Amino acid sequence: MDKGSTDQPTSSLLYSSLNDNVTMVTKRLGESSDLVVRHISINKTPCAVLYMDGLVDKNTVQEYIMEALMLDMPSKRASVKALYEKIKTASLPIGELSEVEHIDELLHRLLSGETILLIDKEKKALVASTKGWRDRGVQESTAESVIRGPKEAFNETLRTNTALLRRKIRDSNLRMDAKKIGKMTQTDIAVAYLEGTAEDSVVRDVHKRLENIDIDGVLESGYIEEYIQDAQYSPFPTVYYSEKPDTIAAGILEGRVAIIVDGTPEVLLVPALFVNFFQSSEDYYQRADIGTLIRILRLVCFCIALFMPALYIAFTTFHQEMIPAPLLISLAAQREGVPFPAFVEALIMELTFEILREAGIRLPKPVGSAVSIVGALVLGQSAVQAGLVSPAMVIVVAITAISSFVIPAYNMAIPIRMIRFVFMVLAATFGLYGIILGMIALVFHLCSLKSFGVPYMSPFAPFVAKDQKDVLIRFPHWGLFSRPTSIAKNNETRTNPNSKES
Amino acid sequence: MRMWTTIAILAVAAAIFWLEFPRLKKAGKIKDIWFFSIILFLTTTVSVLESRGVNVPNPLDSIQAFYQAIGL
Amino acid sequence: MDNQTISPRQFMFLVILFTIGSSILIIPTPLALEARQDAWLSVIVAILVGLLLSLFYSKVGKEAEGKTFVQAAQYAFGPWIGRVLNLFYLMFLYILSALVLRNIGDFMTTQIIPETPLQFTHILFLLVIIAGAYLGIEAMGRSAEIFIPWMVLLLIFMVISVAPQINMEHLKPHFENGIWPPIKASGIVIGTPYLEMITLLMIYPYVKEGIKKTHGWMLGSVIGGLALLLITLISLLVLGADLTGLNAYPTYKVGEKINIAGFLEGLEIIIAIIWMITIFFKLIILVYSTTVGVAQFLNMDDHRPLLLPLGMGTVVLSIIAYPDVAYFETFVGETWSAYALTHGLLLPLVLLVGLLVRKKFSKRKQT
Repeated sequence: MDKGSTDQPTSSLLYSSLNDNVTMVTKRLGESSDLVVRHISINKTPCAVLYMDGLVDKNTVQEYIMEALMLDMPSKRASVKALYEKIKTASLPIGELSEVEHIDELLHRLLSGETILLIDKEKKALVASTKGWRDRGVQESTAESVIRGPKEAFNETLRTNTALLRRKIRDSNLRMDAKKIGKMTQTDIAVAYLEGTAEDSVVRDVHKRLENIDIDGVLESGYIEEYIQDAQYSPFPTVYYSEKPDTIAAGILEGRVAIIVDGTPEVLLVPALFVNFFQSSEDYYQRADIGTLIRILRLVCFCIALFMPALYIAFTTFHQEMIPAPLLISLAAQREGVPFPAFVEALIMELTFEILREAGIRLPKPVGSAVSIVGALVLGQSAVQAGLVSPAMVIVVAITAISSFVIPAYNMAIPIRMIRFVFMVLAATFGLYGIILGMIALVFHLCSLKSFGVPYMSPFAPFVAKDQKDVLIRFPHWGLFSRPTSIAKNNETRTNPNSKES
Repeated sequence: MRMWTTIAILAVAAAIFWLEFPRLKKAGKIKDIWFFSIILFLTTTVSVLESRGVNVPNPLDSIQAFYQAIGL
Repeated sequence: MDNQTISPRQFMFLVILFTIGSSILIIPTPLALEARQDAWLSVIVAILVGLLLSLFYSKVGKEAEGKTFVQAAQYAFGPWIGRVLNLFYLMFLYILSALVLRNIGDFMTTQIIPETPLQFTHILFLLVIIAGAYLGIEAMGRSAEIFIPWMVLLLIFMVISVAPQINMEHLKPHFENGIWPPIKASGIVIGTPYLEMITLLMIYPYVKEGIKKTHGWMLGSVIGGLALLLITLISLLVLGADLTGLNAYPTYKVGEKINIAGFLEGLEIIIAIIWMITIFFKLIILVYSTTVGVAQFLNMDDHRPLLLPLGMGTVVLSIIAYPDVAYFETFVGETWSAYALTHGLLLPLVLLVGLLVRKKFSKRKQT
C-alpha cells in the first residue's frame, strides 16, 4: 500500500453511523484489550472517544477532552453539523487538533497515541494529539562519554530529539522534514538541515533515497543506514551517527543533513567523510593544541590497530634482519618454546580477544568484572606461562585492542577489526611486501568511496588547503572561518578572527 | 607438480570467467563477451604452456632481431 | 572509459610518480657504468629533453581533442591503418607493463622476500593493480594525492639520514672523459621513462581542461626527473661511481648504509617502500592504459572485463621476457633505446601529422 506518506486516499471512508464506525475500529484492531472506547452523549447526540491505553497521556484525555466534552458543554441541542463545528473550533482546549475521513488514517493516528472523537451521523472524526507514553527521559549518553561538554543524549522519542536539536540551533532556517518509513512500523523520521547552508543536491538526494526504502519495519537508524549508504560492500562507514545533540548540531551547522529516527537515540548524519570518524565533539571544547595532538594520536592509533599484528608477524617470520639486535635476541628467546608459527600465534590471540570483547558486551553487570579479570589476566598470563604464546604477542594484541578504542566512532573500529586479519594473512604469506601492497589497496579503496557525492577522502584527496584547518589540526575557533568546502558550497564566514581578545 | 599448476591456472581462468560473465550477460553485450572470452582463452593457453615448460616465443627476441637487422 | 575525470594537479602527481616509476630502480647502474661520476649530468640533460617531450606530447594531446591515442589514431587514419598503428602502440605498452612488473618482482625476490617464487610476487602485485584499475582513474588520481606527501617525506628522510656519509670527492674528477659520455648516457634516462610517457596520452583526455593541463605534464616530468637526479647523486656521492655501477640496486645499498644512533639499521626498507609505490603507479597507469586501449581498439564499451585476462597475459609475459639479468641488461643497453624511440617519438609524430592533415581536410570540406 503506501510506502511512506499517510495521506493517500484509501477506499474506505468513515461511516456516518457511530456504531458502525466503532464496530469497524474494534474489529480492525481485533478486539484488542488496550483499545478504550468511551461512549458519551453530547447534547443528546451519541459520541464516542477512542484511545489506546498506554499510548496516551491520561490526564490530557480526561481533563481536556472528556471534561470539556462532558461537563463544559451547554446542553442546547443543535444539528450534528453545528455541533461538530463547535467542538472543533471552540470546545476542545487541545493544542493539535485535526480531522480524518479515512479509516486507515484514523487507525494510524489512533495507534500513534492520538485520541479520536466520533460523532453519530458525522462522517468526519476529530483527532486530538495526546501522545504521552513513558520513555527513558533525557539521560546521560552511555556510548559517547566526554569529560567536558554536554552529557545529555537523544532518547527514543522523535519529538524529544527534535526539541533537543532546536534548543541548540535557534535559527529559523532549521528544517525538520517529516517522513514515515516502514510498512508495518510506520516509523517517524525527521530530516533536519539548515536551509541555505546545506547543499540542495544533498538534501534532495537524502529525500530520494529515503523515499526509495521499501521495508516492512524500521526499528533502528541502522536499517536506514544500510539502505541509503553509498558503498554497500565496503566495510567502511559512509554515514555517521551519534546520540549527542551537540555533535549532530555541529554537523548541521557545517551544512550536513541529519536523519532522526523514532525509536532509537542514534541520529544519522550525512555526508560523512573518513576524517569525521576521527573527530570528537570534545576536540572543540578543550583547547586547540590538545585537540590537534589528540587527533594525530587517533590516526596513529588507527594505523597501530590495523598494522601492528601484521607487522609483528612479518618481522618475526620474514625480515628478522631488520629488527635491532638486542630486540631481536629478546624476541627470539621469547619465541623459543612456542610451538606455533607467529601467524598462528597471532591469530589465536586476536580471536581470543575478539571473543572476550563480544562476551564483555553481553555480560550482566555483576558478573562482568569477575569474568574480565579471568579473561584478561588469567588467560593471558596462563597462556604465556604454558608456553602457548609469547609475551610479546600478548603486548601486541593488547596495544592493538586498546588503540582501536581510541577512535571515537565505533563504526570505524569495525572495519579495522576485520581488515586487521586480512593484513595478518598477507604478512604471513608475503611479509612486508604483502603489507605494503595491502596498504596501497586500502588507500585505493578509500579513495574510490563517495558519501552522497562527496569524495570520502576529502580534504586529503582532493587536497583542499582551506579545509586543512579542521582536519588534523584544529585551529582555535576564531580561526575556523569557513565551512568544509566539500559539504557547503555557499560558505558564509563563520566567525570574525578579529573578534578575539589578543 | 606440473599437473597441479595447470589445474590451478585453469581454475583461475574459470574464476575470471565466472566473475565477469554475469555482468556482461546482463548488459547484453555479446560482442564484448566474445572479445573477453577470446582474450581469456589466449592468455590462459599461454599460461598453461609456460607453466608446463613449453618454450613460448619471447617477443623481446623478435624485437631484438628486428632492430639488429635494420642496423640500430 | 568511465565518465571520470581528474584534476590537472592530480595528473601532475601521476606524471611525477610515472616518471620516477621503475627508473628509480634501474637507471643508476647503467648510468654509472657509462658516465661514471658525471652521471648526474646525464640526468639533467634527460630532464631537459623530457621537458621538450612533454610539450610535444601535450601538443599531440591537444590536437587529439579529447580522444585517447588509440581513438585518435583510428580517427585520423581510418579504422584499418589506424588499427595498424595502434597494434604497435598497444604492444609497446603491453611489453612495457610486463617489464615493469618484472622489475619490481626481481627486486623483491632478490632482496626482500627471497623464498617466494617469482610468479606469486607478480600475481599478488598485479591483483592489487587490477583491483585499483577497476576503480577507475578518479581513484588513481586521489590515491596519488595521498601518496605524494609520503614519498616526499620518505625521500627527504632518506637523504638526510645518509647525509653524513656523503663524500663530495666521489664526483671528481669532473668530466674525466670529456662531456660527451654523460650526454650520450642520457639516452638511458630518456628511454626510461621519458619516451614511455606516450602512455599518458591514454589518460590525457580524462584530465579536466585548462592551461594547467600542459603545465602539469611539464612540471610533473621535471619534478620526477629531479627526484631521479637526487637518487643518482646520492648513489654517486655515497658509494662512488664504481660501486654504483657494479651493484644491481645501488640505491638499496645506500639505504643499507643508513645507521641512526647506531641502533636503527634496517631502514633500507624505506627505499623498498618508495619503489613499490612509484612502480605501483607506473604499472597501474600502464595496465589501465593498455586495457582501455585494447577496449577502444575492439570498440568495446567497458574496458573492465579485459583487466583480468590481460593481467594473466602480463604475468606470463613478465616471466618469459627474460631468463636472467644479463639478457635484460643487453636488451636495455642495445635495443631499448631504438624501440622506445620508434614507439615514443616516431609513432606520436606520425599521429600528429595525421591529425593535422585530417584537420586541414575537414576545414577544406567546410569552406
